[in-house]
Amino acid sequence: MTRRGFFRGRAKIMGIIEGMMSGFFQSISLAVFPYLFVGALFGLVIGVIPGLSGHFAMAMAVTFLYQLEPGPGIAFLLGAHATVAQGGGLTAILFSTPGTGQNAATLLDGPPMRDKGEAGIAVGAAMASCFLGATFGAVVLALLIPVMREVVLFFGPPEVFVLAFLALTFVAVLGKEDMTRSLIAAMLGLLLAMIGVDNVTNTFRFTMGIESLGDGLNLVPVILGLFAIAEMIDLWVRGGSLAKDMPTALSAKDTQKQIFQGIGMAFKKWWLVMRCSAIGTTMGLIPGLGSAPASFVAYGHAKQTAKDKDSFGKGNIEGVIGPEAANDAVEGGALASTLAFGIPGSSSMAILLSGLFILGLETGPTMLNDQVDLVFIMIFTIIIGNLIGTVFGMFLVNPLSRATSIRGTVLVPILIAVIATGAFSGDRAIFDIGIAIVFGIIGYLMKILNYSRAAMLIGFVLGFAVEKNLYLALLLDGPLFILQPIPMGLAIVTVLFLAWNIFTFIRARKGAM
Amino acid sequence: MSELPDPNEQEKEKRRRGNIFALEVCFLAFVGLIVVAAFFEATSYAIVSSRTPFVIMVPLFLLIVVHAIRLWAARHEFDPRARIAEAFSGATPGFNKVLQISAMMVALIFAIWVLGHYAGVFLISLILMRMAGEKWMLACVTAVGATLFIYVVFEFLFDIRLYRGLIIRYFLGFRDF
Repeated sequence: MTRRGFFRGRAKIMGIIEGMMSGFFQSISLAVFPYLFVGALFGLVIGVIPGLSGHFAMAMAVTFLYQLEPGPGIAFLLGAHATVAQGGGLTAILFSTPGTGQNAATLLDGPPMRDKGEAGIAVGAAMASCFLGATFGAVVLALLIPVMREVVLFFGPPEVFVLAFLALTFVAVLGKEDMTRSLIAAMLGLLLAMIGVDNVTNTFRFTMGIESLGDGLNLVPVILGLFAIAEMIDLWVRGGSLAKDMPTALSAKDTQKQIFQGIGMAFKKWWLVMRCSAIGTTMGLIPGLGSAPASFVAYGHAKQTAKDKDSFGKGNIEGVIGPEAANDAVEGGALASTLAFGIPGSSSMAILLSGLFILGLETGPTMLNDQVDLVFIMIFTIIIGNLIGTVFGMFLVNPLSRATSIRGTVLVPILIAVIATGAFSGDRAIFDIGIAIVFGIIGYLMKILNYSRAAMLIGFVLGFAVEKNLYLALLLDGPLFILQPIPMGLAIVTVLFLAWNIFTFIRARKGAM
Repeated sequence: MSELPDPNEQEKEKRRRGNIFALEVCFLAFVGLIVVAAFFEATSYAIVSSRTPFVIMVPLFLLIVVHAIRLWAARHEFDPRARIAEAFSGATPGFNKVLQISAMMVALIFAIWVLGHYAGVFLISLILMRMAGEKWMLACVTAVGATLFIYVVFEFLFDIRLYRGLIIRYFLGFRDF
């Protein structure tokens, strides 16, 4: 290594350390920490309520970002997201009803532990595993920063354009919804982003003469509609209480004792936690996979490597530790690709990206080089947010669990009122409330017809970037930009991946016939 | 000895799947029409403005056609026309509930526009809870609580002035509606 290279490398490391220190002190400062705290508690409560998920919590959190500075805004948004899985784990264990989709794997061993009288141990282990998994993911993200900084420099307009289609394909194919439907949703999302003024020619596109559409569809009402109002319509149609059974209060003293026992066991099985967290973080890097598959893969791994495999499904604590560690570790990996390339791999990351846009922040090389303190605020928010969720979750098990007994018929009107206000608050426009409602109905239809709302939102968020990068790619390299090495490689991967999945689908259908 | 499936449950499941199928036919038809309309609209733009929409719409249209073929192949299993007729005659409870909540949300917009945000939110929350069979006292207290929460968080904490409504604005001297 040359002398110049040595000093340049040292300067880069010093820059990262400076960013880390700044990010840490900002996270615990009076300007940021209260928002982190409120966001974490908000996420915990939302996570406890079945039917309301991480992306609902983030969608609601986004509405407040217009009034916040970047640091507090990020802390609030990510704090809410960080603790949703913890709340969801609680209800999965106590009521056999996962608060969020990513806690479904916890159903396999959590309720059996409850039935054996070990509910507190399961809850303690779940909360501690969430915290440890999230910390692992956050640390990996921090370690990836120097790598991402170098990699991202290789990605110019042609690369980002093709990468966007690759990410959308992954999201559509790997998501839980049907592939064709999800691809339709993704392309629809891209098309919706075309509404408004074309920045190059100042042409009004697809506005139908409506002045309010001149600037395009606002992100916040679309997000609120797809993920918040759609859930409200679903809750209203389903009716009844959110949890099937009324929560039975656990004896406070016994619960606390068991919870501490459970926390201890999670730390004792630290090697399992590390392995499952690694599974979660790796899967988080791949767009479209999400935390639900990661938690099931981690469960499978925990079972395979266990000494007593037969006890899985009958109340084995490792069957709780594995999935809970994985589903929180996913966030570190998911954030890495979102921050580096501005390409979200899930609806939560798409909402986070929207939140960053609202806060005036741009992902990619700018953020990784000049605003690395903000990246570290995100990292420390994930860790501290999960810690807050663990501490409060431990002591508020009984009160939190009562939230599930709220009737949908009471919750829906309140939340619709708050959502409508949130939709209005961005541009102070009643039109935006209408947009939220229209997308709420569309989102509900998509939910019951198995179309991927995540793919639609990601397509919508990426639409502007796709157009901008296509324009620049054609300007810089002409129509043959696709023949450059990286775009060509990414395009081949996209086509092969899609072709393989179509082939597998057709083969499976022929086999079924 | 395995249990025989309940014929009533089977029939219910078949009806549910039939309803979903009919709904998807309508949804896909609507999306297809929108895409075709957008396609013709885009032909009126300069090529620089229309190329990205075309890049998106061509594969989208192909996907819609592929999916429509899949649905067409399955049409004999269900009877979408009968399901749609049934839904519009009010015989599908789920559809009725969706219409109900959608209508109330549209009413919320009008209520906010005319009466103002707080009055609109209070009124529609109250009506929704009463429609769901909640008691007057609970509905009133909850509606007041929700309105107060919105005031405290949005107007007081975040300094976002919510819409006052046509009526109040008229009395304040505004004449632009």
